[in-house]
Amino acid sequence: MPSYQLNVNGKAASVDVPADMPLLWALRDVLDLTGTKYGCGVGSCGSCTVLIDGRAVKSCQYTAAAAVGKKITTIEGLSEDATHPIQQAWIELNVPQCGYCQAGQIMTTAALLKTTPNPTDAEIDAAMEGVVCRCGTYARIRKAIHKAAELSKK
Amino acid sequence: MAQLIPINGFAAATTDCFQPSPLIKLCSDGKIIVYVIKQEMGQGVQTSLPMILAEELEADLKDIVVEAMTFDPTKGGAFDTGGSTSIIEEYMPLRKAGAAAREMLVAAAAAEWNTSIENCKAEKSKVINTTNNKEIAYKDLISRASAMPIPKDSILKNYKDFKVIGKQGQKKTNIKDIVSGKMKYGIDLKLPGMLYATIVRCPVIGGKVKSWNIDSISKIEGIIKVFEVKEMGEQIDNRSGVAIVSSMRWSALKAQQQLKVEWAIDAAAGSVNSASYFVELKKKLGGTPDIIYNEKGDAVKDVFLKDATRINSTYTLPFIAHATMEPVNCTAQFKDGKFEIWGGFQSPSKVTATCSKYFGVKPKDIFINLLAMGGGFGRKLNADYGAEAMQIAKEFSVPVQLIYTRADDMRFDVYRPASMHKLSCNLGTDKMPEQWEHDIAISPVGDFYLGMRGSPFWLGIEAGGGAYGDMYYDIKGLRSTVTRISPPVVVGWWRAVNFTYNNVVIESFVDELAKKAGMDGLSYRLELLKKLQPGKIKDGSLYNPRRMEAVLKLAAEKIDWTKKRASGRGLGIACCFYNHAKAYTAHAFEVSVDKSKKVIVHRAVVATDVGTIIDPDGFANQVEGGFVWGLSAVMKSEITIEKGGVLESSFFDFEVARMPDVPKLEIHIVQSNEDPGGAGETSVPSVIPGIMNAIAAATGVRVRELPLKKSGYFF
Repeated sequence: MPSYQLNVNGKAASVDVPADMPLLWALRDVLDLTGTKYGCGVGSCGSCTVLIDGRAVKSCQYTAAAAVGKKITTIEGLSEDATHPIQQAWIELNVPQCGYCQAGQIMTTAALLKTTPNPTDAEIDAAMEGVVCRCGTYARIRKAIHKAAELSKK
Repeated sequence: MAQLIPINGFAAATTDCFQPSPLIKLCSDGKIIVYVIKQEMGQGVQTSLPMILAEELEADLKDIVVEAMTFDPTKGGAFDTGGSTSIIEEYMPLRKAGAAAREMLVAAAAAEWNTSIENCKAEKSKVINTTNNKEIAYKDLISRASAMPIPKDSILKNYKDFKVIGKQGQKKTNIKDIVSGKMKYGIDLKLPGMLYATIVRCPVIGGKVKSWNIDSISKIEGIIKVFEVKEMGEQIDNRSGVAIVSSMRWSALKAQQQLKVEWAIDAAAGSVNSASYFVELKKKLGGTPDIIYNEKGDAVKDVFLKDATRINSTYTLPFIAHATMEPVNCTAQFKDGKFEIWGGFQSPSKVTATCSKYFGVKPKDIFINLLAMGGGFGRKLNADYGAEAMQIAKEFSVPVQLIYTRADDMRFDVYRPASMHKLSCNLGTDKMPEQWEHDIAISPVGDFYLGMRGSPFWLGIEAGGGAYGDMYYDIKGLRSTVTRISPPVVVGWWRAVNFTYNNVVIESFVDELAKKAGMDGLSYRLELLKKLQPGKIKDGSLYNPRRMEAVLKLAAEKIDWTKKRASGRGLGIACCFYNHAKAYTAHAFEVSVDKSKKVIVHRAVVATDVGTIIDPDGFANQVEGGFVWGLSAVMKSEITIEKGGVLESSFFDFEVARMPDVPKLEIHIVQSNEDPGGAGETSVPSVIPGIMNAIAAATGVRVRELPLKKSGYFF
């Protein structure tokens, strides 16, 4: 199997995986970064969203091979101890229910706030439409994104 | 006497613990461990249940450590979690356990101070001597308290003194783990030497593997073994299939896509599609019913049914998948004649009961490590995925993790049954319903979950939610019937199951009657409630019509029901009495529908009375989630059958509510000191008819088929 040098959460990581293996499985099964979740494998739910060079990418639709030379950030890389403004906002609004989709929601939010530090509700809806939450935490996520935008300025 | 448990070897000198009940352990390091017997799937039992115990124990919440209780296969269904019953079942046991421990700690402190227990009070994990204000922390009373007799009838607190129950602002106890990606679900488990498995399953019920072509996957590296998975019979209800086991998950997933399998499929079963199934349902509705419920008054007399002034409506509802965000999965190991499995299960007792029988082992020889679930909604009450993992693991000595792809999860779910309903009623001279007839045609859950294929006894489940002696309105003549039709797919429990068809069609039909009577939906419902007295209804549940009136009036008041709306705006209201979870809910909506049939929800209001609420913010989260669940069901979600199998395979074709679909929900709670009811399911049903009624009011057109997208509507 080919070997790929990845940069994950600021650290170098080498993975020996088939060329067609999605980044999702390289992160989860090889690097044990299980915070990134499998939800559908076809890009329909957004649970597996990570940042690649700051952009939100569905890691089930992106090979580990293609990520070489790019900066990958997963939920584990957002902060050491849940202190990132987005995580703080999520805690303040008590957002999650089962929590399974929340890494995807949080990473998509991270990309949104980078390009749009003060998003409107419409901008939030457009950015978050690709991330499904079956427990139905959408209204809290929307509020938490506004809160995170506010906390990010401090 | 309580048990004093030294924590292993050297630590014993510094940490003693005592466990006055299986639900709680207090330790000399200050930790108070609460064991949660119910399964966490997002509904918050790991937050709400510890709060109940902390209340009676007078424990400081910051000292509480929450742990899932270790599974005990001899405890039957105590670990099972479903039907919005966790708080209802655990409320008193947790209060009693907390109170008993508190009394032992107080007695220990009194003995320490050589004073009477009347001079001592417990507060914030310590006991205070009220005569001199001396304090002893619980952690310093462990040894003495453990020597105290366990009180039999502890005195429970008065609700007026509650400090924890009903307290606002409690965060989910696992929230930090969730937002930092540290929360472990079944799918996140990794064990030394673990293998990965997928299954290619027969798309049609009853179909069998004929052969497979191993050459089709010979180039994929890592594959260790490919073999047949057998059907394991009733109450497991898995499919015949071919297992692919690999050292690498990715290759098991790829091979599943590429393996060519020949099936032996019964021609009739393999030709069923949604259209043909609904034709059969419709035929059954016109035939002789299998069973009659709810009979009251003159409704059965044919003369009424022939009355030309009767209002007749037929409603059609689809199969729906659960689509939990975490697809079902299970890790299993077979060693020394015993199974050990790891996963999220709403009914671990179902796994031990069905699998011990199938594999010929004792229930105690199936040990289940219960892990948190990424959503349950009733899907994970079934044993199929656990049983499949065990059947595969029997071929190895190392652990094997079976995962369902999203397509597997979608196509091999246990669906909310599809159904057709004929409602028929005439109005008396007072414009109120006289002879109400509700006929249901359905493939029943009892066929599978209860292993009662074809038994009419279990058809009663399919009438629950208003057609099984649980009609919550005052109607003179009443009759409901259920007719079974053989199921083309496995059906099962689904968040609020039968209420999401029966309550939905009843609440929609009542609006039709109100319209015919020339009354608005609120006044008509209140008229239908006013003469009813609180008490037991026919199905045995306690019903208080005053609580129903209260939620209806509150929802109506908050949405300004009587205020005149601009043209094009429509108001809809609906209510639900969730009998076994002791909950009353009313939803009210204001909508408009544009020319393209886009539905804009301008206001969404819910009023709810579930008795005492333990964790108000957690409760609100459930009500918000129930709303979204209802929005998916009313507008978008549908499972389609084609050639005997399920067509949908992802969230592209099985549609659910997404963020832009979800308006703000205004939640209003009736404060109550009644015993607590359930939350998970109780605020789902009335969302659906509430939206349907508002759309009918806005457009003048009543849609009787769900999801509404089939009639061109969208959010």
